[in-house]
Amino acid sequence: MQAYLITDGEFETPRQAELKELIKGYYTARGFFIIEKTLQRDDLAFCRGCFDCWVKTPGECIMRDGIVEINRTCMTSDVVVYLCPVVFGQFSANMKYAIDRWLPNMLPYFITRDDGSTMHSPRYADYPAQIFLGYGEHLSQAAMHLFTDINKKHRSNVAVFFDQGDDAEICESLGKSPMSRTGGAL
Amino acid sequence: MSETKQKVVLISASPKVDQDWAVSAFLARRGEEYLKSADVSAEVIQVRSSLMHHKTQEAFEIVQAADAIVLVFPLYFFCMPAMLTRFLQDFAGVYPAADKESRVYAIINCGFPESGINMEAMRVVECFARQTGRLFLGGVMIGGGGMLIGAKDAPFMRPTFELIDALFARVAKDTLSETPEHGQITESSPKFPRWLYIIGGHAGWHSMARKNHIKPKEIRHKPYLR
Repeated sequence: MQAYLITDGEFETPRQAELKELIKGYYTARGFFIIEKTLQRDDLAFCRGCFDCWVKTPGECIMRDGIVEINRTCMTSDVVVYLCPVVFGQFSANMKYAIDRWLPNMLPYFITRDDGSTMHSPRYADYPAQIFLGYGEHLSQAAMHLFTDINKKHRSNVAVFFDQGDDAEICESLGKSPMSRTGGAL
Repeated sequence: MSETKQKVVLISASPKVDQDWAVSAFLARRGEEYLKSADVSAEVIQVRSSLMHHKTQEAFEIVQAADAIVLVFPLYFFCMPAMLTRFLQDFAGVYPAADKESRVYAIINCGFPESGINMEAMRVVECFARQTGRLFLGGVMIGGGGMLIGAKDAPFMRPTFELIDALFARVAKDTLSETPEHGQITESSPKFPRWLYIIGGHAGWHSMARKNHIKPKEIRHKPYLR
C-alpha cells in the first residue's frame, strides 16, 4: 500500500512539520509506503485551460514539468493526503497549482450524477482516496465550512478535516477516512 | 462621496493563452467598455500577463488604489483557478488590508450547464474581501460558459448578458453613492437544452482530437495504470 503526502513549501511552520511526522507515522504503522512531495513556488506552471490533456496527449499534461511525476504517483497510490494551508477558505496557491493540473486524470465527457448535477466522467476504473487536512492560524468557522464544501460537495471518496492543535483528534479523523482506492464517478 | 472620480479595476483571470477566446477576458473588456460609457473610470488588469511578465507589483498597486474591483474568472475545480489564487495570495502578502473603502464584485463562469456550481468560488471571493477589509457586494454566476462567446448574439444568451450588464450598472451606480446597494448574487445559464449542450460538447471534443490526429477512442487512454 502506498500513501502520497503533498505539502506546501511556502507554509513551512513548526506545526506543519509536526503534522507531517504525525501523518507519516500514522500510515507507516499501518503498513503503508510513504512518498512525500513538497511543492515550492514555481515548481509547477498553472493550468492554462488548453485541454490538450484531453485532445492532444490524452491523460497527460502537455506541459512536461513536475506534474508528470505528481499525477503518476497520485494515480498509483492508495491514499493521497494534501496537507493544505487554507487561504481565503480554499487551497493555497502551490496546492491549487497541483490540484488544477489533476485534469488529465479525468475525461472531457459530461456525466449526470444522481443529484442531477453535471460532472466529468472518470478516466480510470478507480482512484486513490483523497484526504484534505486543512491548517492555518486562526481559521474561522466560515473558512473551514467553505473549504469543506469545496472539497466534499462535488466529489466522492474525499475526506476533509482540520488541524485544531490536537494530535489525537487528527489520528481519529485519519482513522475515519478512506484508506483504499474506490471506483465509480468522481 | 469625494468629488474625485472613483476607480473600478476589473481583474481578468482567464489562464488561457489565447485571450481573444477567453470568456473572462471577453467579459472584462465588456465591463470596461460599459463602465467607460457610463463615465466611470475603469481599467482591466490581465492576471496572466502580470504573472508571466513579472509585473505583479505594478498590478497590486493598482488594485490597492481601486475603489472597486470586479474579479472575472472561470471555475477551476470548484473554486478559483490557481493563477488567480497565486495573484490574490501574493497581493494579500503585500497589502494585507485595504487602506480605504473598497468594494468587491465577481463574475464567475463554468463549463458545466449549472450556474449554481460557482457558489463556492463566489464564497471564496467573499472570504478574500472580508479578510482584506473590503466590502463584498455579490456578482453573477454563469453556467454553460463554453457557449458565451460563440453564441453571444443568439437570443437564448440574452438573459445572461442582461444579468452581466445589470451587474456593471450596479457597479457604476455604487461609484456615485455613499452607501452602495446591498450585495446580490445572481445566476444564469443559457436558455438552451441541456442534452443538446452535452451532445455538442462531446462532438466538440472529438473534433478537436481529430485535428490533433487523435481518434475518439484514444481520448480514453490511461497512461498511469498501476
